[in-house]
Amino acid sequence: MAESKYVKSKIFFEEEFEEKLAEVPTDPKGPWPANDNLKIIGKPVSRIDGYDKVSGTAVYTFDINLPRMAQARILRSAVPHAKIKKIDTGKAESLPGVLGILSSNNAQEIKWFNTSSLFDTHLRYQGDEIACVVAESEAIALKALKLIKIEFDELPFTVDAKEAMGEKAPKIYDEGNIQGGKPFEYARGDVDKAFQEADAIVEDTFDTQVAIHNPTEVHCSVVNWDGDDLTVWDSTQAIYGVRDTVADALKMPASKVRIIKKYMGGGFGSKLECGKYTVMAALLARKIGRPVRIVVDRKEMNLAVGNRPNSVQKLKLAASKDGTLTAISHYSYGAIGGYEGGAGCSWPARQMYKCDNVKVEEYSVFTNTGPTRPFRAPGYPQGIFALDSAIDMLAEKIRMNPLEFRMKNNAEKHPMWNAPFTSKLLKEAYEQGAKAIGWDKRNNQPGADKGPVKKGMGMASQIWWGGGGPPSHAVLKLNRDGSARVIAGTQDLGTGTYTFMAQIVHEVLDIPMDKIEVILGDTAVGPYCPSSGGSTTAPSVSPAVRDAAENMKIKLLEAAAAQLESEKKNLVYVNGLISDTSNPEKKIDIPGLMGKMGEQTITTTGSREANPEGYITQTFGAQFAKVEVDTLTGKIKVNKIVAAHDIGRVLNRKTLDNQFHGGIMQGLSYALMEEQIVDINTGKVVNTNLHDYKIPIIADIPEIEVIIVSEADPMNSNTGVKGCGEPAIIPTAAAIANAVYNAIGVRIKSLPMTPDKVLMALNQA
Amino acid sequence: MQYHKPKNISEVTELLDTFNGSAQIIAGGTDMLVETRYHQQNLKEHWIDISEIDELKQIHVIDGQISIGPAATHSDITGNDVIKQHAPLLAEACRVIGSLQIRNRGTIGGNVCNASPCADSIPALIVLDAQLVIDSAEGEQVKPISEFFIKPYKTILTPGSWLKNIRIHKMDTEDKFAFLKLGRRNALAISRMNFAVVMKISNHIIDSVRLAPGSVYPIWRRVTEAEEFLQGKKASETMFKEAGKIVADSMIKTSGRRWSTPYKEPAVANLTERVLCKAVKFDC
Repeated sequence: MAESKYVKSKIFFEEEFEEKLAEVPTDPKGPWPANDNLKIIGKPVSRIDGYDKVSGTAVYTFDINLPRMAQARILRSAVPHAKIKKIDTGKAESLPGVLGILSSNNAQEIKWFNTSSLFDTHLRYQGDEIACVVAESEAIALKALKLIKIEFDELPFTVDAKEAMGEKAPKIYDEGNIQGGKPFEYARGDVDKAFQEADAIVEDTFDTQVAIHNPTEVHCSVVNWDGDDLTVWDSTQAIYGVRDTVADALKMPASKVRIIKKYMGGGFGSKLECGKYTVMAALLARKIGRPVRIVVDRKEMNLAVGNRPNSVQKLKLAASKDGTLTAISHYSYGAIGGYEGGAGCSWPARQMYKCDNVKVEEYSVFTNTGPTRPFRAPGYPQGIFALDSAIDMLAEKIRMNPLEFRMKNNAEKHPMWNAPFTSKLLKEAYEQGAKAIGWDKRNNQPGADKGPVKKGMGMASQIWWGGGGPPSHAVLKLNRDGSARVIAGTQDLGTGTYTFMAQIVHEVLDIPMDKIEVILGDTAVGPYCPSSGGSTTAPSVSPAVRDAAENMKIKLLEAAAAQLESEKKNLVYVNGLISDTSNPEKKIDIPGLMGKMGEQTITTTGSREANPEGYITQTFGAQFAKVEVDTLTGKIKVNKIVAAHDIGRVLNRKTLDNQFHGGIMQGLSYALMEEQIVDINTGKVVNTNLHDYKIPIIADIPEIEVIIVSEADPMNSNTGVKGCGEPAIIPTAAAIANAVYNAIGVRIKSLPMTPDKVLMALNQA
Repeated sequence: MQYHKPKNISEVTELLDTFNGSAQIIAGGTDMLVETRYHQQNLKEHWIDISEIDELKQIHVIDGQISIGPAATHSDITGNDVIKQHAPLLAEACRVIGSLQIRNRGTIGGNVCNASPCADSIPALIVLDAQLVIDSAEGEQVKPISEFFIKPYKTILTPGSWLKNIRIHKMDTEDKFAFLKLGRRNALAISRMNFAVVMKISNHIIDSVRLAPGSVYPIWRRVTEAEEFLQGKKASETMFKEAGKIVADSMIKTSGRRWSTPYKEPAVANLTERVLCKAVKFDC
C-alpha cells in the first residue's frame, strides 16, 4: 500500500496564495491517457442525482423538517446607519407562539467580523442584524418582528464609495472609511517612462455595478442539539468552514459540531462562509430545547448576504507601433459595505497580458451598504470588462486587429513571478474561438452597418486560478456484492460533484454507475476536503478519488495474487474480474475474492498530490460575442457567444456545458441587466426582489458554443483537471461590450449596458 | 380574507350584493397574489373568484361584434379563432404578456381592471374602440374603454360594480395593424412602453389611423395629434418619423419632463415610427 508523506503545498484560493501542510500520496498514479481512450471520463453523463432533482424528491436544506421544529426569523435594520439606544421585546415576547428572542439585550458577546459582534448596537447598513425571534411558525415569528420596538439614533450615512473616501463623509469606523487605511498597491517596471516613450496611449474610466448572487435556494439552516452535540443542516459551500465558525462562536470543540449538506440550489460564493443566522439558530435552539429552522428570505438575500462590489476603474494603457503592450496603470475603488471585504479588481491588469510596466492602486471603501462576498471570480468580470475594453481601444488606435493584439501580448510565463505554467493554451483558445465565431467577417469599420439595427462582433480574454491542491481526501468502500461507496468531505453545489466522483470510480474499477453511491457534505462522515470556491472542487477532489480507486485496484490484485497463488505481475483487472495471463484457469471476481477474504467491505483512501514546485496553474480562455444593437431603442441583443477555454481535462461534457452555459448567462445578465440600486437620499435598496432586480430568462439566452482546447494538465494532478465554474463568467461582459462598440462605433463604459445608456451614448456621439 | 367561488353570473352578483363593497373580483390572480405581499391595505375582505365560470370565459360574435368574457385568459384569446380572424391585433398584444404560465392564468378582464400603466392588452383595446359592459345592482351600462380609466390602477368601477363583458368591432381584413412592446427582457417583462396601431390605407393614402401607446401618458388615450397629422397623407417613413416626434412632444406636454424623459423622448419617437412601419410592412 502506498504510504503518505507530508509536504507544504501552495494553493491559490480566491484572492491569495495559501501554503498548506498536506498529506499527499507517495506513489503518484500518473496521468490518464486522452479522454478518447477512456471509458466514461469526458463523456456527457447525466447527473446521478438528476432523478431526485427533477422528481422533486431531492431534500434541500430548505426542506428539512424535524419533529417539534421551531422557526426563526431575523429583524434587520431598516436604516443605513444608526446606533441602537433601546430594544423593547416585551410585546413580541407576549405574542402567543413566540418561544424566544435574542438581541443585544440578552445574547452573549460573540465576536463577528474584525471589530463587531453577533448583535452589534452600531447598525452599519440597511439589513444589519438587530434581533432574532424563534416561534412555533414562520408567520408568528414574522409578526413578532413587527412588535419589537427599537429606539435608535439615526446617524449620517454614506452609500457612495467616492463620497465615503472624502474628508467630509460620515465615518463608519474611527480609523476612516478606507479599509486598512491605505490602498493596495502593486508595481513592476517603470510605468512613467513607458508612457513617455509610448507610440499610443489610451486612458479612460469604466464603472461597474453592484450585483447580487441570488442563488435559487435561499440561505437557510436547520439546527438540532442532542445533549452537547450540535447538528447543523446548512445550505453551504464549505461544510468544514461552517463547522469551525459555529464551534468558535459557541466556544465548543469542532468535533462536537456536525455540518450536513446534501443537495443545494447554488451559492456562487455567497454561501462560502458561515452566516450569522446559523449561529443565532443554534443559540435559540439550545435555549428552547427544540430544533430550529432559520430562513433568510429573498429580500434579506438582496440586502445582507453579500454582493459583487461595484467599481470605478481608471485605466491607462500604452503600446508601441508594433503592437507591444508596454504599460498598464490601473486605479480603482469600490464600496465594500459596512464590514470588511474586498473590492479589488486589478488581478487581470496584473497578470492577463505580458506587460513589463504595470502599476496598480486600489481602494476598498467602507460604506453604509450591504456586505461584499466572493462572487463567481471575485474582481475578474469587472476587471476584465475595463481592461479588455481598453485593450480594444488601444488596438484600434494602432490600427491592429484586437485578436492579433492579444495574441502578440500573450504571456508565455507568469508576468508577475516569471514562473512557467503547468499548461497554457490561450493562443489555441483565441484561434479556435475566432474560427468558430467567424472573426474574419467582423466589421472593419465599427458602426458601418446600414439600418437602425446594427450588428457587431467582439472578444475578450479570460484568466483565473482553478488548479486546486491538497489536502483533499476520499474514502472508497467496496462491498461484497460488487457495489461501491465513495465518501468525501466536499460538497456539491449543483455543479455535478456527485456524478464525476462516480464516473472516476467506474473508470478505474469498472463498477457499473448505478452500483456506485456517493456520500458528500457531512463532516461526521467524509474525510477533509476544502471548501467549494475558486473553481477548485473538481481539481482538488477528483485526483483523491482516482487515487483511492487505484489503491483499491492494487489491493484487489494483491489479495488475488495470494488467493490464486499467482505472481502479481501476471494478474490483470478487467471489468471487475482478475485473471492470470499465464494461466487462464486462474481468475476470480470481486464477490468471490471478498468471500475468500471473509470481508464484507474493503476500504481504501486516496489523497490529492502536491502541486508542482515552481509552476503556476491557471485557467485561460477567450469568449467571442455576436450582438445586434437596436439604435432606435438602445436595446442590445446577444445572438451568439463562443467560449473557448483551457480548463484542463473535461470530466463530464454535460455538466461542463452546464457550467459554461450558466456562467455565460450570468455574465450576460451582468453585462445587460443586473444592478442593485441604492437610493442615495435614503440609503435604502430599491430593488430587493427578483421582479425589480432583473435577471435574464431563457428567451434572452443566445446560442452558446463551448469549445475546450485542452486535453488535460498532467503536471497538475493525476486527473489533469482544472476548474471551470468561474472561468465561464469572466470574459462575457467584456466580449459583449467590445461587440457593441463594433456594432455602433460608440463605446459603453458602464455596466450594465442598459437601453438608456446605449441611447444616451448614441445621442451624444 | 374569505375566498368565494361562485358557479355562475347570478351567484357573482349575489355575492357582490351581500358583501356590499367589502368584496372584490379575482380572476387569474396574477396581480392580486403579488399584492398580498406588498400592499395588503389595497385588498378587500372577500374575494370572489370568477376564473372558472364558463359563461365569463366565452369569446364569440354577437350582432356583428366580438364579445369577450372578462375571465378569458390571454392564452384563450391568442388561441381563439374568432380573435385570430377578426381581431388579430388583440391576439398580438396578448401574446407578449408575461410568460406562458402568466398567460394561462391572467385574464383580459383582470388586465383591464388592474389598470397598470404597462398593461399590454389595453392599447390594443383602445385602438379597437372596445366597449365595456359594467354590471351592478343598478343594472348594466356600457362604457367606451376611453372613459374607463381615472388614473393608473384606478378605474370608474365602484364597489359592487364589475366588468362583465368586453365588446370590440371586427377589424376589416384590409386593416393595417401592429403591436410593439419594449421590455427589459424578452419575456416575463413589464413593458417599458408599448404601442398599438390600426390603419386604413387606400392607394398609399392613409384614410384613417388609430394609435395608442402604453406607459407614455398618465392614462391611456389615442394620440389624436399624430392621427390627425397622418390622415390624408401618403404612408412613408418620413411621415412616420414626423408622427413619432408629435407623439414624443405630446408625451412631454402631458407628463412633463421626468428622470426617464431623456430616454423616453427619443425612444417613444423611434418606436412610433417603427410600429407604423411595421403595420405597413416597411423595413424600419
